[in-house]
Amino acid sequence: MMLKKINGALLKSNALRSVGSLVHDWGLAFEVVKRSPLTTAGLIIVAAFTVLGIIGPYIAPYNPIEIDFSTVALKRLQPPSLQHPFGTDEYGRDLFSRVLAGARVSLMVSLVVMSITVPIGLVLGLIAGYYGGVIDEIIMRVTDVFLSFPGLVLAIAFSATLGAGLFSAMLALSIVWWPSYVRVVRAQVLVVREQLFIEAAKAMGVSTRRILFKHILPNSITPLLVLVTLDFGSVILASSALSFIGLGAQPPTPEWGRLVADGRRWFPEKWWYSFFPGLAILITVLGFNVLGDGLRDILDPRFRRRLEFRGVE
Amino acid sequence: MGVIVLTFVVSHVIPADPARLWAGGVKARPEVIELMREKYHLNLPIHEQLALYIRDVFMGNWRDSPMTRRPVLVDLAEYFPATAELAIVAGLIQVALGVPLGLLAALKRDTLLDHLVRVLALIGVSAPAFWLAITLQWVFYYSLGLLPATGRGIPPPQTYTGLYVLDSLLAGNWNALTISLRHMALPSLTLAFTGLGVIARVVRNTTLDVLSSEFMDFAEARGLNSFKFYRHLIKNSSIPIITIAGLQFGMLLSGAIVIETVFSWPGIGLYTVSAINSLDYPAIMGSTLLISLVFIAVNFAVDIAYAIIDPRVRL
Amino acid sequence: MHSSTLLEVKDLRVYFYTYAGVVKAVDGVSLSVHRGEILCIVGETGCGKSVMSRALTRMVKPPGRIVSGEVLFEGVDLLKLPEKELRKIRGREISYVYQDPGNALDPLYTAGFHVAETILAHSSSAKFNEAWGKAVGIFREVLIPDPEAKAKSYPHELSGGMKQRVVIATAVANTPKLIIADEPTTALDVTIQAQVMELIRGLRDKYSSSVMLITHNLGVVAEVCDRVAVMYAGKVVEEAFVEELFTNPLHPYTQGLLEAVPNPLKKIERLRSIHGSVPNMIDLPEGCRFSPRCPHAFQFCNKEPELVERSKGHLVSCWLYRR
Repeated sequence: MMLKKINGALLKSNALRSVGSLVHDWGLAFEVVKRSPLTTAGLIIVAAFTVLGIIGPYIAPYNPIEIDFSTVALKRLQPPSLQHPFGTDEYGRDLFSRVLAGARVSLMVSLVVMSITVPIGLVLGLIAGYYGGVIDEIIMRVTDVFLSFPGLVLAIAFSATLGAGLFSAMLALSIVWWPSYVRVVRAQVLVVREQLFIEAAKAMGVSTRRILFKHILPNSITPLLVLVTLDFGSVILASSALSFIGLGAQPPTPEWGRLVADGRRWFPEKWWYSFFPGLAILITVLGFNVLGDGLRDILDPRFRRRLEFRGVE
Repeated sequence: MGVIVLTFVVSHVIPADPARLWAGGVKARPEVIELMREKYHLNLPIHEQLALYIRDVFMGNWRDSPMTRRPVLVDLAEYFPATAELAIVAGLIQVALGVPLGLLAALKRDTLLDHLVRVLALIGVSAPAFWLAITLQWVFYYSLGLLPATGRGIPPPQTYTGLYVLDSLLAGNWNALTISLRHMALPSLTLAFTGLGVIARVVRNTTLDVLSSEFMDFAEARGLNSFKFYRHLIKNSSIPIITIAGLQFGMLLSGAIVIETVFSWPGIGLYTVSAINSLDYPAIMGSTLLISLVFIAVNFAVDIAYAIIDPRVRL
Repeated sequence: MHSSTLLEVKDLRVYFYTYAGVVKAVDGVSLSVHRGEILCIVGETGCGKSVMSRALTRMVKPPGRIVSGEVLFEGVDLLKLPEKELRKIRGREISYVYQDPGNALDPLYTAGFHVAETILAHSSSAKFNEAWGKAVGIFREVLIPDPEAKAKSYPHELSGGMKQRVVIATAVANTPKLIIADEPTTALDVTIQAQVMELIRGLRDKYSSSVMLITHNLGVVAEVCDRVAVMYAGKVVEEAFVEELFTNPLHPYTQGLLEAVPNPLKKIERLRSIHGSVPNMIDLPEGCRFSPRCPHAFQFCNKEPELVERSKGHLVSCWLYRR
């Protein structure tokens, strides 16, 4: 666990540094953000989601999990109102509070999955790309096998055999997710490895480990950063799909996909029950995707050139 | 081969005792449980189980489903056409709408249309398919009463392929065709929407890349007319477009599993979800394996298409 | 207009509108190409010679824009022609040879297809088989060995020199009046460069086409050109017959250029470099653009000089030679 934390911190600091070194021109990066209201919106959504994920349960107007049996009959399945902006569920719980609490579940799932899969992908990708040969062959064959399955299908299968539950869903998603990172990191390492400065470092007798972690890693991380941002959204989407078909989070955990599934029983008369949790998924995932898209634009030199050249016409 | 092994690993990641469940749960008599163990080789060491499973898969014995008490392969044959039809129709919609949209976005770069395509793509990949399915049902069935919400409708009188739309066409039965198409509308649109924008985006970016290449410039310098000019553009853009379409097909298959439940669409997805609920491992393994094989086959077809289009690629 | 003038460019201006500012890539170029001659355009990288050559048939992509000027081709202003008419001129009357043959050919089509296609694009009657036959014939003329087989090859199966011959074959496919060759040998090996130059000159003789040869290589200029126009920072600074230019360069920039490389027509003591560097095209110096680097600069140079004829056929834009 400790190791994972250290890895996470290392990754973060490296990621930041590499962005710093790649975006030489912060003014231009700012220009991109300014010219792209979408990216700004994405950043705001992601920030709001993270904050709500942390403090959501504390600011929720009602208890998202406990059922107040004295008022169930009175309060159950009420349409949206000022008191209950998203309405109430069949136990009279405030759906707005439950959706707020759901942010924490989604945030946790994606954080856990990422902190398992990204380090695995990084290490295996670095090894495969740098050493090549038999190790590369073995690692890539295994990832090939994983990638021959449509990801969600494999996740469903794993999750089903591991048994329903949030923990097994996270595990299943992690098992399915790491191979794509290995691919991306390896491909990037192959590009960086051929560059002159690595050659120079080797010629100067820098140790292999130092080359890997000080030179190749920071230079390989940019495309990974974009992918991780996009995948944060994908993991939320996939985990909500698992919960929707009955795997993943179990009641009374307020998971968004689960809430949509629960609401379906009262559909269409009590439409709000399914509608708002689903909307929460859409907006959150959209936030990550928009941000990732914008990040890619900022970090992609080709795009920046285009921007520099696009004129008043 | 690796796929089969992984499928096997999937179903054996935990040492649970499914035999008891299949034999009838907590109250099952020991001899029935023993019989189940015998039948599914659960009493053998794990590597022998694996070897046996691989042999059986190749021999066409995908085991029996404890849930339906029929061979899994027979079940799959019954459920697969519905999923295939759904995924194919959704894929066709994606390509038919996504390619022209992407082309338009590229030719009218940085206009409102271009931004709309970008937003559409982002919403498509961000919207949970199951929620979209429910919302569409709400609008088109409950509110407007325009389209049926569930099922595939009545099977056409003759069965040729198991695909209702195709079968109705082959039989020349317009009534059956209308029914199938109307039932097909909501599920296929839901499914198509999730990848439509992605395809449009890829088409747009590829087109822009090709347009900025020197040989397109040279094609212009040679004074080619529109037809000859766009022939170069389209052929060169088609390679990445085929790739993304192949990958999207995998997304369609995954998406189908999730939304078939919502639409009570009698396909692999519905079958898998009910198998999950009864811990029917042979069925879960079977459908996972089948979907992966289809996915692999599609990607193989993509590779062949590459080799046909691009002289630099040799199989 | 001179009777033997094929193309006359008057005060052509092409600007690129970027965030950083307006790049005046071509800023008032005037020159003419005579029938059957090889005119060389010489200048450093970034002086606007490529952009100028593309602007002749309006092949400038945004953010670039042709701001003003006239391009009279046999008396017709190409800049005013509708796109459809212009298309009939490109590849038929005026054809291009690009710098990098590796990228000029579509990798998905055979070499012969490119030539046949260019023939078909400008002929209403020809059938594909006919055009293919012609293409093979042209391959033979541009000295491609085993033309039948090479026509069926894809670009990636051909060497760089062979690809450039294919590009040249497309350029001469419709016996154009003007061939614009933009650094046709820069991407090739030195040994093949001479062959390609020889080929271009041979084809000029055969089809009596005019050639506009864009290059930064003075050796090539001395070797194949009849006349030379020297460009600096988006303008023509000197225009002369090739021997005149090499023996009696007038503009200080031309003089500098000739001192910077071994001169085949004149012995010089030692090679010299030109002080300073090419000006920033957004923020050009006032007056004569070469003045900040010019050893002879004096007070007149803060006004822009005009291109004036000093002796027969020798034009220069420099205050040193004002009448």
